[in-house]
Amino acid sequence: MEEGVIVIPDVTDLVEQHNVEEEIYAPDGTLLMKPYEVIVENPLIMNRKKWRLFANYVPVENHPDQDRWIAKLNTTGQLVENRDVDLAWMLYYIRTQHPGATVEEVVNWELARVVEDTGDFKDDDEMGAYAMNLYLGLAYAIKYGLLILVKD
Amino acid sequence: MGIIRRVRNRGTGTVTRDDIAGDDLERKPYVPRGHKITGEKDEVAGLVHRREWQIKETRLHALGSGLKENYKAAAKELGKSLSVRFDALMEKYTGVKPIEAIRREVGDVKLRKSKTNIPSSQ
Repeated sequence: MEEGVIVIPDVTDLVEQHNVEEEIYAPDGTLLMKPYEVIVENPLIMNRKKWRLFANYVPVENHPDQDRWIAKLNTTGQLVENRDVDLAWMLYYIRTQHPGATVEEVVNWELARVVEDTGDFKDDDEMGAYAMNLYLGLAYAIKYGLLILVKD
Repeated sequence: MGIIRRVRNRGTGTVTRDDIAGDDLERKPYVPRGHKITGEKDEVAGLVHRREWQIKETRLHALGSGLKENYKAAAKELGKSLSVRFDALMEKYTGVKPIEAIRREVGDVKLRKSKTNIPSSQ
C-alpha cells in the first residue's frame, strides 16, 4: 500500500477487532456518532431525516475483486481507500443517483438493495444491526472527507 | 400503471414539417427512439407541402419502460416499508447501543455482506 493513503476497513472487522472509535466527528467538528452510547447520543442516526450527503471525491482505482475502492478527495487531493462493500454502494448511490440524499434515504436504499440481493432479514434485530453497520460506514466516510454533510 | 396496461396504452404523437417546393420530400422525419410511423398525410398548398406523420410507441419499448417503472416502484416501496420498520425499531431501541447491536448479530451481518453483489465503482 502506498504511503499517505487513508484506509477505511470493513466496518464489521472494526467491530470484531474492537477498533471502533468512542466518538466519530466530521472534519468541521460536528459529532456524528458515539457508537458505545445509546441511540439518542448518535446525532447521525437522530438527524437521519434532515442531514444530507454529497460526494466529495472522484474514483481513482477500483478493485471490486478484492473489495477495495480508491478515491481522491476533491477538496484536498487526499487518497482514501475504502474496503467496505456497503459503503462502496452507498457512495455510488450518493455520487451517481442521488446527490443530496438524506442519511435516511441512503440507508434505506442500501437496506433495500441488500434485501433484494440476499433475502429478507430474519428479524428486526438483524435489520437493526445491519442498519447500524451502515450508519457507522457513513460516519467514517464523512470523517475522512469522502462525503460532505449538510445540516439543513 | 401495470405492465399490461402500459403496453396497451402506448404513447402516440405527431411529427409535422413544411417542405417548400417539394425539394425535401425524400427526407425522413425525426422519430423518437422506441417509436414507429403509423400514418402519413401530405397537404399541398401552392408550393408548400404540409406534411404530418402519426407515430406510436413500439410494444417492445412500452414493455421495457413498463418493466423499468415497475422495478423502480417496487424498490421504492421496499425502501419505504424498511423505513417504517426502522422508525418503529428506533422507538424500541432507546436503550440500545449501536456497537452492541452490531456485535450481537455480527456473524449474520458478515455473512450477508459476503453474499451481496459488489459494485464495480463507488
